[in-house]
Amino acid sequence: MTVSLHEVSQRFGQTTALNRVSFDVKPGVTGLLGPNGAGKTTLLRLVATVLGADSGELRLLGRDPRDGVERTAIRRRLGYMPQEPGFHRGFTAFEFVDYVAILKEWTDRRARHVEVRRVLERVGLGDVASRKIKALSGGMRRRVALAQALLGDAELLVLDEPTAGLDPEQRLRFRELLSTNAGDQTVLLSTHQTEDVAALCGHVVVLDAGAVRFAGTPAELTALAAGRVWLATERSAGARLAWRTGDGHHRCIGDAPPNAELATPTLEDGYLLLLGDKALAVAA
Amino acid sequence: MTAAVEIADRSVGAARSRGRRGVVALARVEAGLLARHPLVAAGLLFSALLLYQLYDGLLPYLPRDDAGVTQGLLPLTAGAFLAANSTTLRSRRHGTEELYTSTAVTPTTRVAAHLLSVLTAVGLASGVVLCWLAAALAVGATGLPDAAELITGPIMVGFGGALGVAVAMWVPNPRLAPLFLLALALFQAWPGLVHVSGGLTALVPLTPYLTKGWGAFEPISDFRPAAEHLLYLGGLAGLAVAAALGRRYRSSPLALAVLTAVVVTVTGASLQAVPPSRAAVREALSLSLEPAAHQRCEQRETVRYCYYPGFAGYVDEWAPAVSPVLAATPQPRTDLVVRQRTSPVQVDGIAEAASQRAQHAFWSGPSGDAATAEVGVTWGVGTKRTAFELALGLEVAKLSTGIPRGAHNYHVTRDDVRAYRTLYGEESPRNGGGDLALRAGEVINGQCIPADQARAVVALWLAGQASSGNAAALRSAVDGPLYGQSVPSDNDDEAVIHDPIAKAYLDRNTLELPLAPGFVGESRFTRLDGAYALKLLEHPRDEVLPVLHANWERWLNPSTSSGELARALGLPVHPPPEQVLNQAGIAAFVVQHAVEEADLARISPYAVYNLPRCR
Repeated sequence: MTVSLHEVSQRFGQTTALNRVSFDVKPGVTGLLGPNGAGKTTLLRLVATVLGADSGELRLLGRDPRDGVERTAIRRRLGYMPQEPGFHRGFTAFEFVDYVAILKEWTDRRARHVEVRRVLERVGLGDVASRKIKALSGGMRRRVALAQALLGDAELLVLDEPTAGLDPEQRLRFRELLSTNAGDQTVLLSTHQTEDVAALCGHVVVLDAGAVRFAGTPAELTALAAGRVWLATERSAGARLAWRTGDGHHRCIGDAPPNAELATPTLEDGYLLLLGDKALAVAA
Repeated sequence: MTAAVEIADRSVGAARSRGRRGVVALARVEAGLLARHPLVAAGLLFSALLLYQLYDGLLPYLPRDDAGVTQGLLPLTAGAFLAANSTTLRSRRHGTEELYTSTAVTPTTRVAAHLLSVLTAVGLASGVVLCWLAAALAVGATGLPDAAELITGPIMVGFGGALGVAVAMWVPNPRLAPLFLLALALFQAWPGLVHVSGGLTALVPLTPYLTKGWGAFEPISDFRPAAEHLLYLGGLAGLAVAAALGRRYRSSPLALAVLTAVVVTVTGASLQAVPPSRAAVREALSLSLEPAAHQRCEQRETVRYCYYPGFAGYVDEWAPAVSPVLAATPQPRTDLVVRQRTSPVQVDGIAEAASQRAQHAFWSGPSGDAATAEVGVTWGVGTKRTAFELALGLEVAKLSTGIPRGAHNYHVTRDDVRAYRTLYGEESPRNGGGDLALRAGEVINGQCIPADQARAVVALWLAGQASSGNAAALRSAVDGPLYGQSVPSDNDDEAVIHDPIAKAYLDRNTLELPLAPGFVGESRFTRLDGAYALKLLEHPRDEVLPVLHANWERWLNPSTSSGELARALGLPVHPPPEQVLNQAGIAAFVVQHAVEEADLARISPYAVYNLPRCR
């Protein structure tokens, strides 16, 4: 296992961010779903070694991040894109990624510059590498942040909401990038976009209130909604969730309304059924 | 990962090597960013301007002026402090701290890189020092600089940068850095501002820049503990580095480094506070009081030029100012000595009394030796050269015309007392501020003024004819504006006065000649005599010289008036003041006052000029 959590807990004052979380992450792409405040970012920060767990056991790439030497060894094989990465706005895209590359111990200038150009090309920013970050759009900045995480093809890639702020085309490009990149890599990403999870992830973990509510494949999460998604001519009072679709039907999740026909469930349906009202905000 | 790699990963040697390479790579980038930082650029610019302003127009004497380079680097030190603070806090300011924490490079490595990047500012400071040195040598600087003084500036800049990093580590708020700098500036300036507090002046050696007095009369020797202060500053820089690293990294080597830095700092502070020995003070004072014992002399034509060690090059500057003056005299004197003088070094403590006696002796005026012209330890270059040449030319001209130099005792006469009372009332404010009444018979010690004496006009002409620059400088002094005087016209407006003779009647101050700094005795003349000299300068030199030489003894006689010389040379004699001033349209009461003053000046020059007439 690349990432292994056993009974990991994390508190911030009176707030329990993670409560005895246990799951394993294997090579491939693993998606982390959950409503706001579920503990996704805290979990990713633990995996990115920027935060130490209060209790429980966390092993990353077979090492213990509590040990200083092992933590450094983990970081050498880690790529991390924080939710809000922050930028030195006076830097160019190239300078910023180059700076992070130095922090990742790319000390040979020539090799480093080749690598920086490579990752910028991979995220489609080769043409704007010399442009100041302050002159880039929000989506481009997200891609700069992604580029630095891709440096050196890290064994463990931790991405916190990588598709937030990207337009549909950029999201598709991101999916393409990640799917070609994955291979032996372990990618752990958090997102609110269930389509991204359905399209990319071999595994999905749903967090809620600091606890794991589901861990399995997207198909298994989707299967939770099997036989509980309906298309009706009018909104059902008994449905847990219902919305009017573009073709005038009402998609109802829950008990079968009158005169309804069974619909094929999606991963989103499974997620909504799993979290119920808590997922409403996300679904909206 | 293979077992071999595992082992390598844990290898301390490999980790250290990787750490070193990381620090160097990061420091290289940070150094570039620091060098391009606007505050460093601004500091560099201000330092260059300050150095230019400090030295513009004066021939550098490196053993004395080297300390000023450190003063010039104060803006760059401030810039390095603020810029290093800002770059260290960049990740915090821009929210990249979390991302950076997830990388293999440790925060300590990042701090070390920031500290190393400060070497850029040190390099820039060294460049400034070298540029200054090159510029000084290019204009003919003399003497050898003290290496410790030259190194102090760049070390001070390094200390500023390291302190900026340390402050960022302990007080991670960029807004507080300017306040910290302000506090540091106050610590630097406060002991100097508070003259009266002995306790605070004790702090002077502890300031990062060891303050040095500045001015043309700065002694050529001082007791500035350059090497000891460098040690102290180096210790402070070491402490700043340790403080920056110690925020996140505690280890035995660092503790040892802190201990070493403390010992160096305390040792430096203690050594620089040790006062100079009596023998050293005596030797330094002797430079001023007995210059001949320390000087070398060089004979050029009829003049002997004597200079302190390191000033041999100045003879080439002095000679062109002296020769034309002597050449215009009928029989150039062969005993003339041009001797350099320096002010005595100021010391406190055990030798304070001796120092004060030496100061008094020095500032009382020139030695009065009838064969010695005194010249200071500075000399102008470029546009300032003329002022120095005119000043030295006047010294030689005074010697050649017998105008007394140095302090003399003067017995106040009844006429002086009467004139004083007429001018100021019963309470005569002597020298513009005293509250004691002047008494007949009282002895006044001071210089004299050759008012209304032909030799004054001759001396001014001798100096003026030496070069076109001298003539222009003399003209601008005689025909210059009336400083601090508003003269009403006869229609109550302010009068615009062009006539130099009218100005001379209105200005009872002595002629403000553009005296060069570094000359002990001021050249005091009246504007009226200056106006005659200007008229004389308008005539061809070949016409003036025979008339002067034919009756040389007569013109040098103190009893020969300026008017007699004017008549002999066919110059128009100054009309009486009422005629000149009325023609200038000046208000009647002003004219009346000027006429009274002119009458009193004939009876008592002392009352009018605050100087007795030379005898």
